[in-house]
Amino acid sequence: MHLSDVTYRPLLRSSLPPAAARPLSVHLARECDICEGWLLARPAADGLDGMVDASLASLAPAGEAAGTGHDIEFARIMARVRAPAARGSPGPQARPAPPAPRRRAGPAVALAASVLLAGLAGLLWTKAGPRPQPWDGLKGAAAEAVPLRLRFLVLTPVAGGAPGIEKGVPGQEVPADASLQFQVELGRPAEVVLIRTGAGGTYDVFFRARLPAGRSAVSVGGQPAAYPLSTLAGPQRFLALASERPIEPADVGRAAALGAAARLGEGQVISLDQVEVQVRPSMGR
Amino acid sequence: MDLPPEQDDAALVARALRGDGAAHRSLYDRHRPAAWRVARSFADFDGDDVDDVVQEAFVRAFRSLAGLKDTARFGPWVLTITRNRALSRLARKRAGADLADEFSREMETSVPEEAVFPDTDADAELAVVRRVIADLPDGPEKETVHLFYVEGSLSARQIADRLGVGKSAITMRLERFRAKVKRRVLAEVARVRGDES
Repeated sequence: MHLSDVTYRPLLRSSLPPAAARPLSVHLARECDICEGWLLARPAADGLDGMVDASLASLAPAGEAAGTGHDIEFARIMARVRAPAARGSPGPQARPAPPAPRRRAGPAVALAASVLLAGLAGLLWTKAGPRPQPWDGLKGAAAEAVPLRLRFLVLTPVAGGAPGIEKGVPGQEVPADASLQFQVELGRPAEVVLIRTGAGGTYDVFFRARLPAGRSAVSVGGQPAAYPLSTLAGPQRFLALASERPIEPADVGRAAALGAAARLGEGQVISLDQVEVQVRPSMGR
Repeated sequence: MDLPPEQDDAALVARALRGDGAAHRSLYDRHRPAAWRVARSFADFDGDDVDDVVQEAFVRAFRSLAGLKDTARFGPWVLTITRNRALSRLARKRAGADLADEFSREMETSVPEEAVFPDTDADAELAVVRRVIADLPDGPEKETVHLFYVEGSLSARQIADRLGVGKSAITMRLERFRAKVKRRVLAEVARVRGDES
């Protein structure tokens, strides 16, 4: 007697008659590809999966630190638990990219790079950052920081067609003719500044806006925008800074140098998240 | 005297339902590593995917906490949710769901997961797991299971890279192994049920 819907659910619910459970027990104690295949094909996880996963997770060596939680993620979770209505609501400064086929961007995404080139002209400036300040060691800064996450898509030109689009992975190598479209996730509404750090403590500010809680694509003039990499080579670091209070230009460099969450003057806390990519020069350069 | 983990969880869930943020944090800290390991068993997922799945699972669990009847089973429950979030995400990826759209996708509505847990003893279940591993014939499946579950430091994706095999092959080896464990656990559940008169 193989496992089936007739026996499985009652068995989990302890409602299978003992007379039916006994032969099933004998059967399941032996190898059975059919029953294992049936279990494998179940479309969704249930309580049995959870209990087995809990047992399997306990096999790992004690003291395994990987996978432990952290303040920022927990704050993100609780912000969404407590304010479900605020999730993902797009604001006037940002809107998600419109649907596009996998690996091929639609017209709106194809537009992104050109929009950026025009849009960044008024947003980007470069300056030498001040000397890094030591972390002040104040407890609780992370808990007060706005939950923040920075992610990105890689837009790659395709000859004769719309650009390819793929989800960016921190640390990945990207061609210099690609551009990056960033997305910011916030636990609370905040002012957001995006910067690219350079050598010698320099940095470029290429985006500044007040964004709502939830996920927002970086946009310029209401259009999704992407950061061109054509003038860059080697490792590049992009940071997102967020604070409920306005972020002064003088604080940007200090915050970028401080670490995970920076407490600046007068108790202001600035959240940070970052991604790095390796820019591979194009053949023609 | 320390309470067993299940009683701890029941107490924490009760406190969390009263709005105690510290209890939420304790539940998250206790079960986040296991949820992370569940998400890492899907070799198609990168680190971002794994973190998203874990985050979604806890959001969903905390929103649905009032629907959890067996509060001592919070751990298995949140792992069930984690696996279902992972399966949904995997299905979207494999169906070629648009990435940009996926980025901006609203979280699915928070419907409590059905929570029916077999009546087993955790220690007996762990013993079953160890027996199944010991009984595996030497070969790729045992090597994969050992790397992922016993050594525990590599993700399924990293194991695929190390062994030089496809990502889906690693995920499938782990899933076949889990099916074997589930069959043996069910045999034990059925045996106990059959002994009742």
